[in-house]
Amino acid sequence: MNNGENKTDVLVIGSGASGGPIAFELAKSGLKVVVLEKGDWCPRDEKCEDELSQLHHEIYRPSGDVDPTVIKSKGDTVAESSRLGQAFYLVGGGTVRYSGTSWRMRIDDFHKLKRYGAVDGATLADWPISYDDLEPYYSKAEQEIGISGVAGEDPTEPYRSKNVLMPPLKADRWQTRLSAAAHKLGWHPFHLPLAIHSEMNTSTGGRPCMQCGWCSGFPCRFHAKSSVDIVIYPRAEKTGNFLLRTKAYAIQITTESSGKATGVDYINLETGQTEHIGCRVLVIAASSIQTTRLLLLSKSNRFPNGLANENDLLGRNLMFHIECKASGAFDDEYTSHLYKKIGIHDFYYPTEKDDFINHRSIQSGSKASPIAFALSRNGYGAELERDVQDNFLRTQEIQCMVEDLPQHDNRVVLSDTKKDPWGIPAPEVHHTYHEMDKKAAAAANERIRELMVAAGGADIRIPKVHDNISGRYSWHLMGTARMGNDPATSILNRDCRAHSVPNLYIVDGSSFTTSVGLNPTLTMQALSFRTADRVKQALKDGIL
Amino acid sequence: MSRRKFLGLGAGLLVLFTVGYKFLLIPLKGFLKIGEPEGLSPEQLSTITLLVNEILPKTARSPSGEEAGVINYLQRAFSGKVFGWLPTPAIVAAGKCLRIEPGYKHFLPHYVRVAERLDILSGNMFGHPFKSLDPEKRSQIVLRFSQGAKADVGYNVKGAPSAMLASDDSLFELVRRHTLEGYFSEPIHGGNINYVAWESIRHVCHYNYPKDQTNCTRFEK
Repeated sequence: MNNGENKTDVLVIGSGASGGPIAFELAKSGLKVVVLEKGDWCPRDEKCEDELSQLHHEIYRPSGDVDPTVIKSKGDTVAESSRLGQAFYLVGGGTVRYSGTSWRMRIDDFHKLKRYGAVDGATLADWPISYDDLEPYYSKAEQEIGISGVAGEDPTEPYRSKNVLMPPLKADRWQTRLSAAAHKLGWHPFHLPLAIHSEMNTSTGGRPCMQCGWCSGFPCRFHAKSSVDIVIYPRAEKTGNFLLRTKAYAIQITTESSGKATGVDYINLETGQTEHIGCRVLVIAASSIQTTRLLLLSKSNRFPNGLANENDLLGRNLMFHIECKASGAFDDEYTSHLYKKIGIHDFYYPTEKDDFINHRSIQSGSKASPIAFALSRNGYGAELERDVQDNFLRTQEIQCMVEDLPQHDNRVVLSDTKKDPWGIPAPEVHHTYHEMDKKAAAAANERIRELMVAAGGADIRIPKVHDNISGRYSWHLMGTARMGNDPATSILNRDCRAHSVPNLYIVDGSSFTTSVGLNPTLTMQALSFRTADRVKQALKDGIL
Repeated sequence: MSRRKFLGLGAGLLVLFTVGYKFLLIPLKGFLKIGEPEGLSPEQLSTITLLVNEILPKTARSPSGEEAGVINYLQRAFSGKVFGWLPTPAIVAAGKCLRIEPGYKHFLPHYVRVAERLDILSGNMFGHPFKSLDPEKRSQIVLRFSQGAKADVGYNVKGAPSAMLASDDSLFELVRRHTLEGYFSEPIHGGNINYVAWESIRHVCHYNYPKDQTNCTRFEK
């Protein structure tokens, strides 16, 4: 395949966590695969550990003025030029800079409606697949991506048919202290499953972690983090059937009268020219907000409200996670840095006494880096200097991921007013937390405070829970094109294929029916591998 | 014209001018980028330096913001000498109305406004410009400036407010943020000269710190 071809078997939009696995699998099977990526490859150089560049300036992507997202809550504009929902502008997407926490969903996570019943104001639904359907693909994802941890430690962990985990990362003094405190409370800490290589892995190409501590929010210079650009794309290229086009900004999906997708128009960001590539099968993996935006932009006579949006559900049920966090000062100093390695799921499920149904995952946090730490302290002058000098090494954090319940009016639409440099409407996010989300977050804060105290923490600081994502939120984007068996109440079927567009698949977090209380990446990757099998089967059966 | 009518006309023109200046001329100047500074004047830079040294003064354990290179960091940021996402020529051509250059050049009007406000406050309170005050009076002015009218505007979330419309406390927070960035960032950005800031907080296990790191966690048995 040469760079001048304008038609391919499979076209994948987005090169992130879930774009990579399906592209790799289908290229291995002999299909011609092209991936379009808005950004570029991440150089693994000394800027990888540069806090200012990575966390504060986010040097790989433009400001919100160039690629804006509008955020609204209860009708009020919270932000006009946010970077939320922006593409990461990197080959490998969020996996280049993520923390790597890689969970299998629990068995009951797939059946929240059945377990808890309906909740006022929330659009709870059961997933159309079960853990049994996805289990083989979790094993495949763990093997192909490279996950370390210890099977069977987590009391809520579902069964696994194969244990392919690499050994866990070495504990450091903070993690050891936190584990001891959890044991003292009668809790059951366990090693987090992490997309970080603890040993050389000739299959993935990953190298053992150097324990430098610059993980969450930073690219890994040492190829230990299982970023998709490190562990997937080099192998995909070796198949000879794979091409990745960078600086390619997809702006519209073209369709034929039967409703099938025929290809994608995209702007070549090097030349400014609009180009087109045709395809037999279209896979979108651009993350919930950008995926929705692309589909909404792709109007036609058959789909006047956007592709696959005949039921006005596209963009709805947008979910994040609330990320609760406590920091505390200790009587010891820790040079270990930015890594979380311990999980606690004693409170994953709500009890009968709780007035919420959200699932929650406590995870050991890490030290803040210098600029972030200094900014988090109040005041100025000698007092601020003393505060930072005395507490920087002594302060550690504990986090809790809290499930965000789906709501009909939490959604992504196209902005009427904000546009990008090409005049293309920006995405507009409408989101307000459900009352149960806030109650669950408040309860989570109490648990992490309890753990912090048991570990000997003082001067415990916990930011308040906000009504909306202007406060703390995670970068986990889910919902907007949820899976379901009924085309009237879902966008995708159980194979992640659009009900109304027979050759369109969506494999990013958009497909999630509920957000569960866990980092979503491994589930997205498992769905991506599973969808690859479904595509191969559909081609074999002549459906595509 | 009677005296009453004359005064009435004068008052009306004054109101018209004030309203027009605030609600028409300032936004128009911002939109058309008229009169935007290319850099700080030496007087403005002196005033900002004094503010930076109030935010991070010299102590027994650490250098002042100026000594650690914060002003150097700011100058580099204003001139665009920063790492950042660089638009392709095609993007520049498409978005020629937008501010898309990396760095902090778009904050220069804010820093000019900071210098102005400090002089206005010190003129009102002590009858002299900010930089001619003694340290105690300067501290009082900075405290007043930092506690200015509350405005729920952050420069990351809602976008930088127009310099002329920004409240004193949001301007102060902008300078505080940039001062801490310059103080604690990697020396390649112009501040934290010879790692003095990192050494003051004993942040010496950073992978890029060039001296002995054998006491760091990754070497623990």
